[in-house]
Amino acid sequence: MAYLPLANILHHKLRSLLNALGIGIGICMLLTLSGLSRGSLGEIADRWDAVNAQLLVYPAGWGESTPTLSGVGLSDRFAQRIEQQNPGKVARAVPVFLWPMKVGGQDHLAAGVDPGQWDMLAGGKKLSGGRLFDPDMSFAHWLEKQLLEEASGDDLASITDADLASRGALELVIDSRLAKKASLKVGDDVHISNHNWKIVGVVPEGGLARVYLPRRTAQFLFGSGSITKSTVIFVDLVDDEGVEQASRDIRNDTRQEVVQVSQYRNMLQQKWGVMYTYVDAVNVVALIIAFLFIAVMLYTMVLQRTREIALLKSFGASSAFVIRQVLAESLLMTFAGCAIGIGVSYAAGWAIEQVTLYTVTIGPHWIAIAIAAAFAGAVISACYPAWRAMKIDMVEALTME
Amino acid sequence: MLQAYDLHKSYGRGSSAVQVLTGLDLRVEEGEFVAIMGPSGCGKSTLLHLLGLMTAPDKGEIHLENSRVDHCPRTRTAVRRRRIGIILQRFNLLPELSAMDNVEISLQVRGLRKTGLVDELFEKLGVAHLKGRKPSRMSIGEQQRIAVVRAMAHQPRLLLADEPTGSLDSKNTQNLLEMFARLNREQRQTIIMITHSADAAAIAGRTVRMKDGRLLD
Ligand SMILES: Nc1ncnc2c1ncn2[C@@H]1O[C@H](COP(=O)(O)OP(=O)(O)OP(=O)(O)O)[C@@H](O)[C@H]1O
Ligand SMILES: [Mg+2]
Repeated sequence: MAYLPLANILHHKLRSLLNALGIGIGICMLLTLSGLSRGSLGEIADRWDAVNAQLLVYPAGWGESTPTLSGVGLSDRFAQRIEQQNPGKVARAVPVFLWPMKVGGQDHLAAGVDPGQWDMLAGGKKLSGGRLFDPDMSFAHWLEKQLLEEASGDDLASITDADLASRGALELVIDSRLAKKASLKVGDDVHISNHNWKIVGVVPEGGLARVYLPRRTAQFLFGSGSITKSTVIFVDLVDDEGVEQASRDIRNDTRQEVVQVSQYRNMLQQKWGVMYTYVDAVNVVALIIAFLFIAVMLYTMVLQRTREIALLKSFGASSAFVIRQVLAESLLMTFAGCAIGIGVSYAAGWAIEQVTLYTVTIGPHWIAIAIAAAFAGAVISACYPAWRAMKIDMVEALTME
Repeated sequence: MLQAYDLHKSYGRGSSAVQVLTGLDLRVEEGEFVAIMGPSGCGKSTLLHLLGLMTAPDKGEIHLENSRVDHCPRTRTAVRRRRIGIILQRFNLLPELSAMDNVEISLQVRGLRKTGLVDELFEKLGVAHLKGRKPSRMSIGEQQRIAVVRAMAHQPRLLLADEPTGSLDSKNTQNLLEMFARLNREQRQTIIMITHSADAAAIAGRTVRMKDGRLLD
């Protein structure tokens, strides 16, 4: 079968390849950037969702679009109060101290957790190597005794890093992906936030954080001089049904913000909405450039091939036939470009996940958008060249040198 | 079959305009084989373009199979062109396509499928070995014969040929002319052929001479 658009594309292999690449790069940018921005946030939200709790309590006034929750927030007494005020409804209220720590060259929101609450916060994941920090809470109890009990004469300033280290306070558990990316393993020493830590355990990824430390350590080091406050409180309810009611009760009682953990996703999205807009704008520009490419290519193709188009018309090709040739060429090129773009996106996504801790989620939704945009662009950019092709004067084209 | 009255055609505008056809009349009956001769630049190709409905006359009328065909809507003209077979003086083939594909695309445009006739024509014109070859790797004479195959593949009632033997050797010229004569005789195909060769014209049933944009008689 003589199929002219394909024959044309194959006749000008390099030019066609460059054009398909131009489109492919546009598509790849669209998929990778949106996949990266949304994927990384989605991955964080997924990890929060994995926490075995329904409600999240954080300080009143931080608002819905609060910057990343971290540092001193709620008094630990709220946790006790929430449990006491809702007997039979709240299984446990667990304070967590969140703090950004740079590990493996990237900032992570590390979670200061009590070893006893590990199962709730790590999303049910068992350590795949090593052990948990401060397993029998001896450091926690010692620190509480030093700082919380009236009788103690010690104060914050007299406790040194050496004390902390000797009592197992400067120990970290990291997740498997960070361990792989940063080439860290159980037993390694790392210097983070001006302290020397030891990695004592590795847990499969998927829990609240990538980096865990003892909550008392976090409070002591990053809690502005007091170990009475954490950042947020996770509340595990006995009965999933009563989430709304429990949420209202706790809000009324504590007068703090209470949201469902699943809503954290929306909070992240609100916070990063501007970035999405920015990324999407860049994507649109990339696609437009890709299609200017095609439009120019089709236009030069039409100009270069006036004679061939004139010949087709001399056999009686209708305007529709001529337009179809130009359009088909544009669509074929776009099809190739889409295939390249999608293929490269998956490869790029995989590569990014190997080299960094970002997550690239290339959803079918975005592939559909990319393909739709590509084909719409293909049709639009074929319009003017097709119109020019239709207007070609046969005699002029076939007699002029 | 075909009548042309008082055809005028010029190229360009204003002071640089060239008057090519200046009131040409031509009448060709169904089943006739007409040769057109005349000096270079007298407007033979221009006449053929008009008869092939590739362009419209500035003035005058063209009638084909009892309907007036100049200045018709574009779509209708395109449909009429499909029934004509035309061999141009130059630039006949699509360079991206092989010889066979060049023939097939013309059939495609006409909404037809390839028949056994196509292979037969390739054989008869001695170009069967070139079916898969692209025009850039053929001689001018070979290209011209492919154009002949293409112009005849849909068995047009009217065949217009602009110096089809211009680049052929004597054997191939003879072969092609005999084929034209046979088609004309056996299938009553109407043929209008432009030629510079008196021998070629001798095969045709009638020869008309052109000079300065008109027929001499
Ligand atoms: N597209 C065009 N634009 C301007 N002038 C043209 C064009 N085509 C042909 N002409 C001019 O019209 C005149 C007639 O040209 P035409 O091609 O019809 O001559 P011809 O009789 O076929 O000559 P030849 O025997 O050399 O093929 C010539 O003077 C030519 O220069
Ligand atoms: Mg000529």
